Amino acid sequence: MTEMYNQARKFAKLNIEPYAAEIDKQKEFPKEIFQKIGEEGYFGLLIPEELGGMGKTLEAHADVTRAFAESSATVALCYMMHNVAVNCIMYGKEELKKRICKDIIENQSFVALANSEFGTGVHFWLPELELEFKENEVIFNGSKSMVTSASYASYYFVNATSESGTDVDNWLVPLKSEGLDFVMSDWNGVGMRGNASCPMTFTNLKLSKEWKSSEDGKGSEQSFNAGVPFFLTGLAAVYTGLSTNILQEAVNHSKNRVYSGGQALCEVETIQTHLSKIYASTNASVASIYQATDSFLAGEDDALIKIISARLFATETVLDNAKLGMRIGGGKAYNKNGAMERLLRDAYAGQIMAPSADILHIWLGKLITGQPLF
Amino acid sequence: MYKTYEEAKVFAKEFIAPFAKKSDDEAIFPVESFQKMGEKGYFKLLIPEEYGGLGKGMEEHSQVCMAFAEESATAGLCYMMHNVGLNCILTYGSDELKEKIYKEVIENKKFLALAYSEFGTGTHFYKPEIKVNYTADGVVLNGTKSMVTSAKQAAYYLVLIPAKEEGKINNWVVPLETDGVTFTDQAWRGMGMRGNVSSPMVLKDVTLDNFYQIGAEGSGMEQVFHAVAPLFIVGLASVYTGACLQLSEEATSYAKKRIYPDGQALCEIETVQIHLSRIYTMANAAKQTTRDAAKSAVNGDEDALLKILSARIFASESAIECSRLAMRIGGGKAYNKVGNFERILRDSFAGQIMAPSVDVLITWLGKSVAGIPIP
Repeated sequence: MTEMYNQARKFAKLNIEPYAAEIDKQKEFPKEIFQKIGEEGYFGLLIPEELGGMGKTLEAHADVTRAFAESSATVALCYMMHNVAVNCIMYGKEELKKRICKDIIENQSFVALANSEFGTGVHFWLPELELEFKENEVIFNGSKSMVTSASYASYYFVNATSESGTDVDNWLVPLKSEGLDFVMSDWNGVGMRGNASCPMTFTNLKLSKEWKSSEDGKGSEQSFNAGVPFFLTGLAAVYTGLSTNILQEAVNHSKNRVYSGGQALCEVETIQTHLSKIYASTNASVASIYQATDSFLAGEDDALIKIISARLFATETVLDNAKLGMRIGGGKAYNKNGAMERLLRDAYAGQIMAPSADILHIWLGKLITGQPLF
Repeated sequence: MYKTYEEAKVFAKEFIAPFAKKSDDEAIFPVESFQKMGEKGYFKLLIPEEYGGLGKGMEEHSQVCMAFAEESATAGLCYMMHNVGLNCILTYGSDELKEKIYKEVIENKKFLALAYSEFGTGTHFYKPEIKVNYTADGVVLNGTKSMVTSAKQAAYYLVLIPAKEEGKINNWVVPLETDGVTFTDQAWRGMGMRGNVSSPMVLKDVTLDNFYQIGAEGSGMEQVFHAVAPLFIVGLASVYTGACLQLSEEATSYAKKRIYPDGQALCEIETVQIHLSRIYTMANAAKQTTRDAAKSAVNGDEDALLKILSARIFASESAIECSRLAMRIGGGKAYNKVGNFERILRDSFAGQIMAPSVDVLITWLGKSVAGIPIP
């Protein structure tokens, strides 16, 4: 494991793990933890050193996210989205980039993604948000459906159809904007309950054109080059961290659960087989991520293919692992003793989060046969 | 041929479906549904006609449990335990005990529950550790049963206790009102099957007359294998098959109703069609294998036990897989608890761990097919 991972694990054990159960129970965004993450400099992970950040890459993004997810998947998920937005901003217009970096470094602000919509569901690259283009400003009307860290992030990275109508632009919408509202009562997720995911509505929200991050009509390019690799790798890291958490929980339970006859659960052959499966797939999940990040950093042609397969593998195996974990945990886990059922609920977010496992399978199938994605 | 099933489905739509959500939300027993089951004669399904019952057997037991579970798995589960308990009494009970219980079930619409599992032995419920003091007139019981379904709601609870001879067990009936019987409140926080109101049952100096012993001294194990296991395991297969069938129906109707802005329905997408196809195939296979197992048991086929075990394993594992796919089809809406998918998902996860758990049954089946004695 890398030094970055070890550091982040140490941080997570101390600052995230003790609150993981409570975050889930209260269904509240982990505000205090995010403050700590900011203080420790993790918001600046992907910001270049000359702008005050750590100047790290995709590998560090995956390492920190995974290390956080081993303590709380929901914390890691919100954190990784910040990194994705930051990386897009780094790719975008210079002035906005400097301004946001300054705010992140000096004030520990963080950013959230607001891409999916009700109508288009997981097809978040087809926005229906209505924009009216004026001389110096733009007026937003409409809504985004599932915005993570809603009302807690200082900025929202929003995609909308460009002025020409032929492509997409990416905007940064400050939390304080007039006409911006959140429908927090709508969030009732099965898991990932700290996400505070909810609809975000725009009512005649006026924004100066300075808040546009992408060059005119270059939003898709920005999202695909700077956003997609970091988002998909981030998801792979979240669900891989979650698998590791399941593994630890399953190992501990099977060693501590002793039958009246004195036999520990882990001495039963069937249980050993379950544990072995969880371990093997978790290990493969971790390895897939490193393979994907190495490939991306080396600029290999098939980097995206490897990233997609890491994300698919991590999100599908975590469901199997959670199922087996629940099996090992028996009636106690089913009765919500210990963390296993929380981990199961968190795991179920993986297959449906945009772009969903179904869509990614189609993409991967197309990519490995040389077909265009759209 | 499946008249009982069709009738039970109509009943379930009218009297179980309306209470399914509330029962889950509030973790309360579906009292209204059970009242109606009593009124409509479902409690006496297995009681012979000459005693005023419906005189039905294993196959109808399976059909009713399945139909009930298609609206609420937790209602199907509690109901099926009643039939299992009743089956012990009608197969092994003394005439006096039968007379009393039949009267309670038929006239007073009372129902039964099973109190078999214990903390120490977990899923291996056939090894009770409860303390028994045998007196001239009966027994004095002390100890705790860990996960008793329909706790406080059922009028009679069947408990397994160590027999006089070491290594053997007995099966007894404990009436709810017996002195020294209490239930630990708030112990049930199950992620699903929340209407079960499962709770530990504490027995403190519970004194019972010999009248309440089911069958001959030391015959508990025989009862577990002949009267409990077949009906119980087929019942579980039926309940989780019901969950699969409900998932298939609801996933299909959701995929037809969810329309994208360009007018395309979710069900028009090939990947979603594949999911629907897999859910349907599994649900259908679970239904057929469960029916086949029930029939095989009635016929007394040599391989009936193998079929029963495999139906239960298949249905329980399929329910988890069907609900995983349904959650995939349901997307963000289902994840945000819109509709029934997430409830059925939570209910389904009970299948693999309920005693005897899927892990235990798989080893039993492996032994059985190889001709090695179980457990």
